[in-house]
Amino acid sequence: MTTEWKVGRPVRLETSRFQISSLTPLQALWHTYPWTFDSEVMHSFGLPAGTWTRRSWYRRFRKSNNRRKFVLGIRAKHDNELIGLEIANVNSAGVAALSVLIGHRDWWGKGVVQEVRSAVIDFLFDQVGCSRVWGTPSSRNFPSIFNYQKLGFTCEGILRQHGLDPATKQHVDFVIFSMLRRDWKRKCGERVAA
Amino acid sequence: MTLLDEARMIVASALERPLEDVAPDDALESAPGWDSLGHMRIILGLEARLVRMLEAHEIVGIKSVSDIAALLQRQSTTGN
Repeated sequence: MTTEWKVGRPVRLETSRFQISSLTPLQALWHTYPWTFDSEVMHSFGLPAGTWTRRSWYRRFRKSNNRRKFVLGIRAKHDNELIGLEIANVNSAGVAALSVLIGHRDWWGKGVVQEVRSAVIDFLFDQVGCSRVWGTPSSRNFPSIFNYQKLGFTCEGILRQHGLDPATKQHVDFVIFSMLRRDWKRKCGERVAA
Repeated sequence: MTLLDEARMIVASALERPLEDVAPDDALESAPGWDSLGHMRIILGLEARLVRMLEAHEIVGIKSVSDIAALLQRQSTTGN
């Protein structure tokens, strides 16, 4: 479920288990800074752990404006606890880059990303007017690759040795996944028909 | 034991399910219990079986039990 959004105003989305809403940069910092010390959480985001100051972590959120950059908090409905973030950066061509961070380990493997990302993609296509969403997980980030594949994203290619694995410091390949608005609408239609 | 049976065993072990519950045509879109953490364990289990890290194109090619069997087949044919 999506409540109507106006450009620059906070986003509020709802799924069966989660509330998804815009965070201010300070809210994002306050809630998520402790996660930066958890190597498994941070490595799943493709970032090192234990090296962040409050100021450097804040910089990742400071351009959040609910126009081109959306920092969305994911809260479990049953206790309203913040369990993760979905971030979307929209460029001038209406292409949104996605990334997600689930900081609450108890929710790993529980289908959070599938449920939340579906709602966020609906929002980006229907209300922001995006034509394409995409993401580039590391090829060693198997849960992230699973999430893109299960949502039906197309693998467009592999960026060879495109970055460093934060755990091993070795170069690692990245995978390009994308979804076009027309393909998402077709998949949604197929799900409804099924 | 066929390579398809071996692929089913890797999936059953990773998803902590009885072997008889894993069908040869199971795929990540539809198989019960095939979630993100299970998928990670499947790929790590496959890498342990092959005694090497998978290439990126191999990782994105794993969507079903039959894809795993095909990888095992390639390994047994080419040795890598």
